[in-house]
Amino acid sequence: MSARSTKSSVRPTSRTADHPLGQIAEPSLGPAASLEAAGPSGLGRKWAAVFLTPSAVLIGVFLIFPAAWTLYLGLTNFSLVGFAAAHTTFEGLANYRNAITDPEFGNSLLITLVYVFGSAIVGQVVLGFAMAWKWKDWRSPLRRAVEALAIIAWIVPSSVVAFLWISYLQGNIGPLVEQGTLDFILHISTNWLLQFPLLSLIIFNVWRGSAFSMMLFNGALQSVPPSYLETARISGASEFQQLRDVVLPRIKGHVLTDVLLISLWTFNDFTPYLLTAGGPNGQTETLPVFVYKVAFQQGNLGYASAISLIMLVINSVIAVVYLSLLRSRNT
Amino acid sequence: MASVSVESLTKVFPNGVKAIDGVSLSVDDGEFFALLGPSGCGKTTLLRILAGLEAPSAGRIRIGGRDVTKVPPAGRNVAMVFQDYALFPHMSVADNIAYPLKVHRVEKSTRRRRAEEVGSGLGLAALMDRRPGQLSGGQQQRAALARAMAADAVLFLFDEPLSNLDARLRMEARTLLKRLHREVRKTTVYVTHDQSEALALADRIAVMDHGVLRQVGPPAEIFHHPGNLFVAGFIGSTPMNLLPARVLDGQVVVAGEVVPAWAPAGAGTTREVVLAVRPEYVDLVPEHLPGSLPAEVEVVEDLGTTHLVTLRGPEGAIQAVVPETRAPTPGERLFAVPDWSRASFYEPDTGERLRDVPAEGAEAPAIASPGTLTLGSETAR
Repeated sequence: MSARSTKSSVRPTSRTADHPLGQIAEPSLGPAASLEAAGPSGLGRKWAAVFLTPSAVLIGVFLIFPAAWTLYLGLTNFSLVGFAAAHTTFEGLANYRNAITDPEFGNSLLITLVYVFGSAIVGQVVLGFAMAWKWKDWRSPLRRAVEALAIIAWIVPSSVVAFLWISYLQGNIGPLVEQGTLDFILHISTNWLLQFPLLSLIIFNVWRGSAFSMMLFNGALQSVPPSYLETARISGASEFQQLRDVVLPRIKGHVLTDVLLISLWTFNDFTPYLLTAGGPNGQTETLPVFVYKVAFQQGNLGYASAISLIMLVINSVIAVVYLSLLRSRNT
Repeated sequence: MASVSVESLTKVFPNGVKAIDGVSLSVDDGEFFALLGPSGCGKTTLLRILAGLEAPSAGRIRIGGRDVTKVPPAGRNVAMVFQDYALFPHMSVADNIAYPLKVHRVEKSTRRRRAEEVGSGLGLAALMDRRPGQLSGGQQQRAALARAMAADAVLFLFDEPLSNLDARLRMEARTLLKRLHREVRKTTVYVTHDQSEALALADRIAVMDHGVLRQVGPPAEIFHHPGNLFVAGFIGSTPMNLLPARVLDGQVVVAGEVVPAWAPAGAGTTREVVLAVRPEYVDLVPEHLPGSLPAEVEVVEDLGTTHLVTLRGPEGAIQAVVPETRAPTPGERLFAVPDWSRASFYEPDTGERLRDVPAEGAEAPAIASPGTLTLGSETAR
């Protein structure tokens, strides 16, 4: 706390101190400076460059170039098929203007936000925390079993769980499985993926992802000394007061980190496509699904690139908001 | 204010460990009661059961006459100070002290007033708006004390509150605790493994070992008349000298020497006993005296104003505390003269004290008056 304030008072004009990534970027000056200072006994700049080259080449080829290429494509009408495939022209910001007025894009963005809010923030974070909190003092094998199940849901490949959920909710995946398992159990006939597509996806994603939050919060709750909670209990604090006064202030950083990671993952999650392929009638067309459709089904790579960039900007905004929240708790 | 009574309390943990085994005790209203014992003896578990943080497997607890065995911690009106102080790092000192009031929805200005009132009594007035992380160990300890006092509880529970302080601060805090207790006279149960803390602070001490009470009594009784060999070995800055002895026709014989000690009537006429005497009550003399034991000096440890001398005697090692001016040198052959009148006798098999002391005025085995033999022991203490 005090270290940070002295730093900004030493360099009051520096912009980096105000930048959310400033803190992360700054320490990287350290090793380079010490390398130089190492003098004849150190490696020297030349060798440092030699060692850095392979990774720099890999990053350049597989990360920076595609990113720049996407940026460029977003400004063109480049397509996989048709006239524009042969005669790509530079369109400026036309793709971005289209996106803003495109009702499909607006719809897709709204669906994505509902999906992120419902399944990530409310679902996974809250449920994950609830599980970690409620089972905190359990030492029984039952807890291990439930935890193991939750973790399995998280680590099994998307394609496998998607298949399982289709057979669970919908059936019709072969001559023998006509009815979804859930319908079979409940003796009803509801095609969940058709009648409640977004809700089904949200529940699916909560089921799939809560284990991560649970594990993260398990670790976070370990960092709360038992005597804190016991002091609160002896003072007469209710469970809500214990959470509000003792636990949450202590693990605020963990909560923000969890929310950040989960929001970004869910925002960019492509698994919905495996379950519903964006349907029915676009009701589950989240942005990643939308981009996929525009790019590879409609072949409109230019427009898809532009939307990808918009997604990147949204992701960055989310990240910056969380990081500044994370930083503000220290001041 | 409240008395505490514990009736045949037992605690068995799920892993089968029996932490407390049928403990019964009572603490009077306003008493400072210490639970003393080596680590793992069950003293902290007992304290946590009193707080309601652990449920007993069997037995009953009353606080102020009310049966609280099944009452949750919040309903017991107790305050606890933990070894790590458990001050909330995100709250100011004032907020920490007034936290019990906040929980009970006391108005903010009242809380602040109460925090300052209690805090200033403990020298925290200038630190009210600091965070615990900005306080020294001693200040944190006092803030934790203040929080316990602000709660207006009927019973204070202390779980080794001084053990995170360095030696010097610990002494200061100990004095402070004693003064505080004299002022507020609140019933206090104090857990410690440090016998000097227990002896200095407590009105009564309960010595625990393996989940049972080995002795309960005032510090002087515990110190001078340990009820059994466990307490004899545990209490005192140096362990008691334990000498195998024999009672023969009412006379006490140690290493073939008839010594001027009272043979306890309970010992019968002829039997083996263990005789215990504190190193502080052992003097060293150059010449043989009646009832003295020949011994060779092995180790001399400088304790500042005194020296702890370890000698090899006829019945194994014997330790003596002598004044700094009379430190012997290793290899020297001397005679150890225990103050036999201060010796206690124990049953060798059970380790229990043979209590039955002869009636007042009974004639001592007349060899020499014990008083004349304790030349150095007065100054040594």
